[in-house]
Amino acid sequence: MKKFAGLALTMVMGLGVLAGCGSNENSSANTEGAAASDKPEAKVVTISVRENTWGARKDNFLEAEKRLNEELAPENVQVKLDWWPGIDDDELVLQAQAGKVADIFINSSVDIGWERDAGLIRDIDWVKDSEAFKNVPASYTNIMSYDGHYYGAIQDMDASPVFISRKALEGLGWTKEQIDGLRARVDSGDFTFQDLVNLADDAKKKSLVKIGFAVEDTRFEGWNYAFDFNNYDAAQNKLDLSQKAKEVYAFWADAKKRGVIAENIGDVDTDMAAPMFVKGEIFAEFARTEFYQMMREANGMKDKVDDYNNWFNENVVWIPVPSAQKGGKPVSYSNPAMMFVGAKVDDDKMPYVQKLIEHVLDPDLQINHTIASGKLPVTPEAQEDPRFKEMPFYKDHAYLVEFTKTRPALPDYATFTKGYTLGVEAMLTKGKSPEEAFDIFVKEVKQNVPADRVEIQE
Amino acid sequence: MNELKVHKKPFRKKIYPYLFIMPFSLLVLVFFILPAIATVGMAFTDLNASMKPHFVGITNFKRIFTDYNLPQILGNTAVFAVLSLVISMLFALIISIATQYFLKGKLLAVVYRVLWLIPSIIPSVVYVTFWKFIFDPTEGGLINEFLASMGVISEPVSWFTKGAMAIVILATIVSTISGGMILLSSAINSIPEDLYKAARVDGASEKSVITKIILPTLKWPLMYITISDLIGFVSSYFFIMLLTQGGPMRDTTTLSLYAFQQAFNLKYYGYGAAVSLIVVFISFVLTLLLIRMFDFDQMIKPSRIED
Repeated sequence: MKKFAGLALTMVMGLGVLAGCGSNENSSANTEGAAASDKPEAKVVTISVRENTWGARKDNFLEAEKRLNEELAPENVQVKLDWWPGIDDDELVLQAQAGKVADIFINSSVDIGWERDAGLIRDIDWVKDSEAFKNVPASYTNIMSYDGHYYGAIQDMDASPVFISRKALEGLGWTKEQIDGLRARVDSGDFTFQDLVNLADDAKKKSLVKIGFAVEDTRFEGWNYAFDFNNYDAAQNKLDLSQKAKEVYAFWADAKKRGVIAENIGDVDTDMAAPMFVKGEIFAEFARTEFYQMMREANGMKDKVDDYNNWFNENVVWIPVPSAQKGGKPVSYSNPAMMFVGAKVDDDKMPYVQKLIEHVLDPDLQINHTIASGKLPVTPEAQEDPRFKEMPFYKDHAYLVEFTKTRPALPDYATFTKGYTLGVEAMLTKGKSPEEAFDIFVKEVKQNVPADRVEIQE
Repeated sequence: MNELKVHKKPFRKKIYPYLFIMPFSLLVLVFFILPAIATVGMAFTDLNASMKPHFVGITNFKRIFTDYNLPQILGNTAVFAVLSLVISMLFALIISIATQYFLKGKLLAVVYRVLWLIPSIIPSVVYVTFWKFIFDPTEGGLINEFLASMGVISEPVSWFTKGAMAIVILATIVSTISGGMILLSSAINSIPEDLYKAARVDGASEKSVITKIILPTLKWPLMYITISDLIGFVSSYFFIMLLTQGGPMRDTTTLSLYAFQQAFNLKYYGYGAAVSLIVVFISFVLTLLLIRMFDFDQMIKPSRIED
């Protein structure tokens, strides 16, 4: 027992000595601190950020904090991030009610309207003169502003290319030149949406694929743009339910009848679709930029960029969404993420919040996010990053953002699209006609969207 | 007078019960009563995402009764609640009688009851993922894969568009049966063995034992299960939301899911609160009806002591 007690005492003392040695570094640091204590104490600015760890968002904020602190060192100011995990809209509202909205949080561009109306966010008109944003396309400027002010700083972007099975096109007798020239035909308006439906129909009839069209989630309203049904009238700042919706419904009915679209299209999300597309089971996947990344993972080539690019070139061809009209322009749609600034951020704090956001948009950090998430960077400077140039798909399709449309920032947009989707589901699952689907859409919007926020053409 | 003084409880003792219930009363106040009051208040406003409520009187309630979706949603609610209740209770009853009467004391009965408990202890999200895998509309779905391997189908079937309500009810029943099964099993277990023996001596058939001895004993637990499950089904939306989100179209949207969607998906909080009050009203009326149906007054009367 005595031996055991002696051994224990020796261990405790030994650990104490080691701990004492280990604390030398701190001690010297403290000494330095004491020596430097003649300097005035640094001003600490705490900025709360609420977001999840998706992509490189969190990492980028942490790196931006580091860079900002280096920049602010001469001013003896230190910025500290107070990181909260991301939450949903309803919890965001509750936080706002409790006066706990974060200084910065990320949400969709579509959320500007209700967040502003609910007093969750404040204007950030510094975006107009910010160096970080001076070269972003005009389309981004439009989605960052609302009601005459800037309310969001775009964080990432995507477009909506259509990924088509190259093997299926080859099976239909298309030559390499024809396949490689397809995108140019879409861009010029020579190849239409109906042509794409016909191809998918042929591919299904020849059993080259199992599914004609697949679409991300239930983002059916994205196709509306191809038919010049834009959901929104920017001039009047109102939702727009025009007769053109009937044309879109007619396409759905026809595609369903021909088997190009299956009744369960809404149930086959991109998670399921990516491995199916990789296996060659889908003719055309209407997704967004990140589907390129999802296929890479489905292929087991997450870290093999070169191998994946080879596979991609041999198996996939992508195009913008073709116009429904011959000679029409292709379309693309997106749901970009915005960084919003909480309403409680005052003018004293705002310069630090601004600098932090600007650092998050440093070109290399944007590309870190692109690699991790499959989203596009938002500034032309980031597109010059060598890592971005190594990924030809991103580089080649970045031009889509010039005409990519985004959801309007109107609070009733979700209700509007719910009505539209009910019309689609009525045709897919109940065999309703396009006219009946249109009637359901109108009935739903009339009942639920305030009359002064929508223009309905019956 | 003196006697009265002797029996008077000291203040300290009088306060004890209240001290014991105070923490729970506070919890009930904060998490049930205050939110309920807030919901009632909200139902008379136009509160939406702008978070600027205006008093609108009974406008939301008028809107409910002119909502063209209401007949379908009420129908869905009735179908979901009644079928879920009847089938789950029937199964719970059959399992309880089988394991607690016919197989009483056998290991197999215990194992069987434990197996039925599993669905109710699995977290909802995991449970729903399991059902989604079973009815997955692609070739990878369990049923589609099985039927395809048997040569029954050549193309995968979209189960959620063909029978969404049936899937929702099935998933609900499987996870609910165990609750009723436990209550009914314990009630059957409390029946004295002598009663069965006496019945057998008198030549009673198994059917008579079940109908004359077991079922009358189960009146209390059956009433409890009926009321609590029915209210639960009328006001439940979680499984449905995770499984079908109320679709296709509104084929599986129940009244409580509709209230949730209005309030939290579309951010019409005022209207959502009004719809949820209708759910509460329906639950209240159903409870009163069931209490009357089960002759509750008669059940709570003190038992007669036979001379």
